[in-house]
Amino acid sequence: MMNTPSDLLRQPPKFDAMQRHTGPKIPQAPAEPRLAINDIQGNIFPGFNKPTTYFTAFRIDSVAGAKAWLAEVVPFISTAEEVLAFRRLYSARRKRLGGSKPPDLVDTNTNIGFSQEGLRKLAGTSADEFQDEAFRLGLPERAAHMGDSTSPRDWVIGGPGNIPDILLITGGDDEDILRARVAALTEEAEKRGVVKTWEEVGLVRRDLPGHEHFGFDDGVSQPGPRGTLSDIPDDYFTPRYIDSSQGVESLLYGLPGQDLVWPGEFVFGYPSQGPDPLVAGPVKNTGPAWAANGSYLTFNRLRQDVKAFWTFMTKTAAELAAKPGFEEMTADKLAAHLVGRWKSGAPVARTPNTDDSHLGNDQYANNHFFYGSDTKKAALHGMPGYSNGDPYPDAKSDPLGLTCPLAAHIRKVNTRDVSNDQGGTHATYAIRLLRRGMPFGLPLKDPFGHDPEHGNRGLMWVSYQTSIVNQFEFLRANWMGDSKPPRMPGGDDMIVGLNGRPGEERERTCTIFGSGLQTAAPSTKQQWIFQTGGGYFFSPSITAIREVLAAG
Amino acid sequence: MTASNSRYDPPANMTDFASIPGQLEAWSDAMSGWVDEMIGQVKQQLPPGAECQFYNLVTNPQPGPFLDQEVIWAGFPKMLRVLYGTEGAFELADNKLYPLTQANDPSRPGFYTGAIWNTLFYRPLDEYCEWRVEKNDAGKIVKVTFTSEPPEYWQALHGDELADVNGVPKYPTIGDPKKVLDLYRELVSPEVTLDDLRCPFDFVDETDPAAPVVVYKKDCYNPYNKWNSTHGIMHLGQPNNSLSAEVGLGALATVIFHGAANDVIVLGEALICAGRLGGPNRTSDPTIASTVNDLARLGAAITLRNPVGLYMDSIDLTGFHDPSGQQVPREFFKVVRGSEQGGLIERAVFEVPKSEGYVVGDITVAGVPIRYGGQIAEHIKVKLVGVGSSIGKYHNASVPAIGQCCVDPSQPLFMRRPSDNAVPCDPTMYHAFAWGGNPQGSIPLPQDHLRAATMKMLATAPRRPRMARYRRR
Repeated sequence: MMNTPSDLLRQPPKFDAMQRHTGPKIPQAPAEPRLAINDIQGNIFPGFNKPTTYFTAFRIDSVAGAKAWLAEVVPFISTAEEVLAFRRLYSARRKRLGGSKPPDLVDTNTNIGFSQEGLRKLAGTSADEFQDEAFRLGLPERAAHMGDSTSPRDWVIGGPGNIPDILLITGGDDEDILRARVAALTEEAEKRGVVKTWEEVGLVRRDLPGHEHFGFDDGVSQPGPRGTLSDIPDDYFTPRYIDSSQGVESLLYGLPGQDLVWPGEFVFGYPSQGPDPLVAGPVKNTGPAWAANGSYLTFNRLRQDVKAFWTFMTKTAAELAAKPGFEEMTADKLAAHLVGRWKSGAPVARTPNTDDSHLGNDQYANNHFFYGSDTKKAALHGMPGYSNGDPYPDAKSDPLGLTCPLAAHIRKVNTRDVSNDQGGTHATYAIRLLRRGMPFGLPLKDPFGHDPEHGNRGLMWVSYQTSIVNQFEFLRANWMGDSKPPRMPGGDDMIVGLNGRPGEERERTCTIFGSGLQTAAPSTKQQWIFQTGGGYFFSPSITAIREVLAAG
Repeated sequence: MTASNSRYDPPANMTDFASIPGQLEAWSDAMSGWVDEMIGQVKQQLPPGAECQFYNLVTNPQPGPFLDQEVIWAGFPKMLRVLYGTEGAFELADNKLYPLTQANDPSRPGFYTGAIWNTLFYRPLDEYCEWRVEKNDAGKIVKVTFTSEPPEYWQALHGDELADVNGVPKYPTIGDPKKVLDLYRELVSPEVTLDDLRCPFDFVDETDPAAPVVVYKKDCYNPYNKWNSTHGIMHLGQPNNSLSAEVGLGALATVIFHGAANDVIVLGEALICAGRLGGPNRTSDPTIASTVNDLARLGAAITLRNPVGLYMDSIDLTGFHDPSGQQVPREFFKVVRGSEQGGLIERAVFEVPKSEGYVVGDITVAGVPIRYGGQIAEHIKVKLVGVGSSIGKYHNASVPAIGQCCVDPSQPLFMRRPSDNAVPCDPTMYHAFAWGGNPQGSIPLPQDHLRAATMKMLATAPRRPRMARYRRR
């Protein structure tokens, strides 16, 4: 008997707290490097994933004081090992509670990043060994290149003269404990001449956890770093769910559709992506030796104009609905086609006409789709409910964007199995990054109603990668910011893209197809996302903090 | 609806041929001939009973509706970046010319053999977009000229016999050498003479000493003349950057290949390797081939849109700032030949008007001063346009792969150009996409293939210096 989607959601997660075999045994699997999870900061991977996060910026007035403070702070910097262990424990506990959140199991995590100037103060000229042009120049100098029309001088943090030396990210489950941790860290810093210059709180939406302010589930598609946690061959950091009977798919993906990417794309000192995704590529060597186990941290405070967004969707959907081939268009459907996912996270590729919250919430299915050929069912390893694949309609081959538009945000940033303007599919892997976004401001429940926050809401957008130029900036400037790449007939990424091309008055437009292959080109000159702060930082290893940055 | 084209028109509908009686027809005949030749080659590769999905839109028009498939790629050569890093690639792209006896792809032999070819040069810019930089006395860039014009157009304008896809002269043209000279004088240098542009004797390829081949006859147009290499730029010169190569790739990419486990090959690089379809390290060939192949697997009828050409589609000048920090206007990228409308740009010049009081080298891109033409080229999108129709009409079976790529761990991001499947990779290298290149395929791999390949890679990883060296004193 076929399981219903709700039955499947009640299936226990496959891997438990102490599980060391996180994938099927596949003799042909590639050898993966062992990750130094006790040295890598935990927000890089697996990510804090806490309901509340403080972002605190500091200026170093006293180098000696900063070093002393860092030496004290080091034990509070959460490692990947600690964050992962807590997540597994939390998950196992929650399973035993029948899916309820364990109210008394809480943790507080802190990670730290340094701007280039901050590193210069603490590490001297070795900070200049970082070769990334964007990191060296800083976000204010680079923002216009990504289409940003704001003046960095107006940013709340990160503009000229306001670039922090240090960015502290502290997330926690219990707000009182979290607040106390942040206060203690700040107090100790200021005693030693490390001055707080800005602080703001990011909050997971309490009404729609995991969703950003436009209403869409965020962070559904994250790459899975390759690598092992121990010398046990199948003790993978990113669990592997696809059964070996599925062939290559079991070697390429963690969750169905979750690209396994060589860890050197995210953390220094490891093999990066090679031309063949199943073979390790070169170890990148674009920073000082102490960059090993560290990662670039990009931080962007992006204000979202929710009212303008839904006003456009409502008006444009009504106009489209009067045209042949678009009769069923609604605001939600239009927005979903421009995002590539419905609000629930359900991919348009699998459910083109209506949202399906079961699919959207099912991590074993909501990312499982290809564009270059029909998607086949994928049997999951040791999961009876999925032994024949998930129960939802499968995605059909859609290289031309007839179902999910090529300009949809998720197709602009990840071309999956089809080629792009950078060649074949290598860039699909090599430009991926680890996103750690967090909303700020309170949700606007009625987009057209009174706004007590006066529009002050958006996303604290954080990513980790080993090249700001080739990953974060490439995505934002080339694929999200340009109307042509990665594939045509596309158009602008109307959701996140910022058209800074001269003479085009910031107009964004794209091509969508109707039921009979009719085309339409929704367009707007109104911006929905505004940069209001940010910066480029480096998130070093625990060893580098202790032995280089904090060393006297 | 039927795509009705009475002839193949010149690239971007350029008008140089219009006043030469019979020239437009001659050009169309050559284009049509290349298409038919390639259809013949495709048929040789297809399995018995299969029909060629690539068609000649003049002699064999197909019913619509039609869907234009514009295929775009980045103008800066990916292979240079893969081999030499960003800075090295910029330097080499602007300043290095290769003799025709040497391939810019280090895994390939030179293009021709013989003394004459050592004296003829080409730009190592193999993404169908080439450029030339001019600097002032202070060493700052003042002008960058870009071209996507194919060499065949200029051979035809000169009135030469155009070669077939195998390089044998076959298609006569009428031409007007005076037009060639006038355009060179107008666009490149007033010093150009017709003799400069012509072969002073037969240019013979002696790669096979027993069977030397006359590639360019005496008094024919010389595409590698000094005004299109060492002294100037008029059209594409890298030997792979030709219109007939575009037709060839478009046609051959309609063949569906499968790997060792009979899984249809999907991924672009794997397809290039399996089908020996071009350069796997380029931005252009893998995306052209796989985009066409995507349509082929959907069972579509496929051709190249008239006018068939290689074009610069557009440039994105976002973040190009003048010395005062203001965005530079798009008029600085001036289209000289072809059409900006529709993205059919054949020649363009990036230059700052004298009245502005500064030069190209004073412009910054994302805060970085322009020191290389490549910094501009990487913002240019190059394209060709395919046309798909009758999706689902064809149900061609796949054929076995005929090629493979190997990777030398000392050049870890560089796939050596496809070799015959029968020749195994050198034991020091690994066979890329040995698993087939279909993400939903089976695993036809020996147990230790991927592990051994990764071990070869990691053996070349740089050793790290000791951490203590970096402690601040």
